[in-house]
Amino acid sequence: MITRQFALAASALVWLQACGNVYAGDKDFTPRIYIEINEAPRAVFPGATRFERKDVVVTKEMSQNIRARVGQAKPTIWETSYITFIAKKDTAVIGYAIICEEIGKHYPMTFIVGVTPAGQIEDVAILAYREPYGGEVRYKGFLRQFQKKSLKNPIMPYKDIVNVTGATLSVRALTRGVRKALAAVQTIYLDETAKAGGK
Amino acid sequence: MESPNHRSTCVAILALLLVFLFGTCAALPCLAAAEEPHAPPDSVRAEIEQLRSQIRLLEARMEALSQQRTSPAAEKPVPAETPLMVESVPGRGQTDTSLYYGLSAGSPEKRYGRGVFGDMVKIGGYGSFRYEANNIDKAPQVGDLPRAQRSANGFDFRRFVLTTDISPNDRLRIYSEIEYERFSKLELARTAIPENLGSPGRPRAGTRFIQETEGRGELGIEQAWAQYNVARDVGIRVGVVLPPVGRLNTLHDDDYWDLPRRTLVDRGASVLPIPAAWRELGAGLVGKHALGAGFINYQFYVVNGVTLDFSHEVTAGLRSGRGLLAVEPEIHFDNGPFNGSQSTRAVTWRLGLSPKLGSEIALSGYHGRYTPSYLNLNTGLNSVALDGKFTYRRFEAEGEFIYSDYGRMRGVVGAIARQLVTSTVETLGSETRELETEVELEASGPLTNQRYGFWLDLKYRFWPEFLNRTFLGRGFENPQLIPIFRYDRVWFNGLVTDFRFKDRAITRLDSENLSQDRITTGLSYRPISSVVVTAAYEHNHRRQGSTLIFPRSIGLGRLPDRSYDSLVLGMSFGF
Repeated sequence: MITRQFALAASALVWLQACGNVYAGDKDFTPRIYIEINEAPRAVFPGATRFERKDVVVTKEMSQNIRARVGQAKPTIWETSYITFIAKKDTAVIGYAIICEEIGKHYPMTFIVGVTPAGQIEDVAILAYREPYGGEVRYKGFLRQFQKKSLKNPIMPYKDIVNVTGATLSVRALTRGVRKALAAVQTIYLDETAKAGGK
Repeated sequence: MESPNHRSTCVAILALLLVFLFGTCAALPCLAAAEEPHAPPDSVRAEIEQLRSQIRLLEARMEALSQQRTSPAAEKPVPAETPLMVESVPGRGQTDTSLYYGLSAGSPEKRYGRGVFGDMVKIGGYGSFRYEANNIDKAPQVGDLPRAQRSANGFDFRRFVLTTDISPNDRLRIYSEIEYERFSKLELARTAIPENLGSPGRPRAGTRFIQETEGRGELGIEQAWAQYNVARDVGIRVGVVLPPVGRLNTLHDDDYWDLPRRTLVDRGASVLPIPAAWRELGAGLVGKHALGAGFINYQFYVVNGVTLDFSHEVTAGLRSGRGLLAVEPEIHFDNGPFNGSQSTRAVTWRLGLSPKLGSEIALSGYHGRYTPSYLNLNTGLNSVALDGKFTYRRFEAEGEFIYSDYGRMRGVVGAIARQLVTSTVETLGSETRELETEVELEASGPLTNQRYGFWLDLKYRFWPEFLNRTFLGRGFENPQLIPIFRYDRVWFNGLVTDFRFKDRAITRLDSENLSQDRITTGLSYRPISSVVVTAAYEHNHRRQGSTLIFPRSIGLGRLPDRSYDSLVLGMSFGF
């Protein structure tokens, strides 16, 4: 019995050591940061040929418009400025990406939302996740749900977004944040585009 | 019939295969992640990023100033619209140029978050209360004594659990849960007084030691473990853990469930040896990996393991003119000791697959000896469970099936009785050795050969928009109403109901097969996802045997009723 227990423990240690050694070779390992800021727009617009970064300072009027568009969602963070990117394919604008944050259970989660000129979500990607659990929200299978959604959709758990057991607070935070991102892009870019088109 | 050694060998082989499988699953993503291109040194990158940020900030401010100058309104001496941000963009100051702490969180001294002791320690918890009214009658009249009340219509403080979650490092985590279950107070008073009580009329020498203990309810450690991540999403967990058998034992937080009572299978008529939440002391491997559109998750632990424990009352007297030594043991299952007094002798595991979001199917089990080491009998518990969840839009189905084999209870009970008589007779002295010995068993175990059962929850989430204008919806972001239906069914095979032992031989062993089901319909209201108010109607029905399995009244045992109904109102919360 002791021999069998020893064999079991030794096998487990060998495999764990293999996992640890392979992992130790990854010099860029930081368990919570998945995408750096400058790489983020390509995660949501992989077909773009160039990106133009634009840091936008939020004015009082902008803030009021964003809050009105967010609707029933109650974001926990109201950024005073946004890092945004204009995605272009050659010379044509194919979309806008914006980086936002929302608090999950205890820590903020940083993510980027790509929005098409029609006001629909192109894609969402998690830049940094800081909670000890609930990280399923960063998997593609979950984020895919946001594609094609716009401010006309509720973007709420149990309505048009499937919840992830064990990550309820992170799911809720991300849905709030995505709605906030849509509202911000609409206010910062799409309203201006609409005005320019109307002149 | 299998020998104990053969069974142990099978368990060890299964354990080795599971470790091999889990190790392979853990290593594969790491191998993929290891192929990273070489990157410039971190310090240079950080410096470049900082310079870029400062340049962009200056560009943004110049553009804002330029727009002000060209605007006709700027020529008039009117107060300019003050932007919400004044100086620098939060989170991107001199010392904080990366995503580590968050863009909006500000400098390292200013953090968003709800940690109480800095960022490392988070305090949380959950709790629940309920009110129950049922139609269980009082016990039959006995002489002119008042009829005993077999059930109470009233409030029940189910539990309050405090959790601490500590992350001293990205790869380390310490978690604990302390549970107060139906707990109102615990008082312990201890003193030493002289035998003469300070009175001249009591000429006694010596000192009397007095200890008075008064308590109601249960206070216990539900979980207390530390985890060390050897790789992303793979960790070694050590401490007081929850055997991941079935679904409810690990997902036992009251605010997760939409009914105010746990299932028969996991709690009321527990198929497992310990009703949820069952905890054991041990160590193991936990992990989770993305797989296509979903992911797999696994847990594997070696634990001290559940054990059969008993307390007994001994009386010596005369019955029908003959000397009699009566021993009445109360036998029950208990989680393994936490004081290092028992060898590690059990494994428990779980393998789950989530093929798509909101759906999961999992297989889990427990294997280990439960008879104490001082009994000359090696009998083990083997449990296997299949559970799952399916989500389609607003509809959810969730369920579980557990089968537990406890071995042949006749042998176990006989071994306990023989050990009890031997030790008791030796303890009591030479006079009692001449007495006839008789053992009557009080099996609060319950002691069964097999137990198995299943439950199924069906629920639907909705929210009528007009309720947003009422107190139910006002101020809440995403309230929900959830009608829910649950069906429970359990079977107890070979339940020991009576036992007699005389002159080292079993003279009587009564057992029977019981089965019970429960239908529950309810409606829950969730103003936020972690608070639920529920109203539910339950119908319990005896399907087989002479008594219901649940409830079991203290002192009165199980109810012989064919069925009974309950109305249960409950509130659960998490934070």
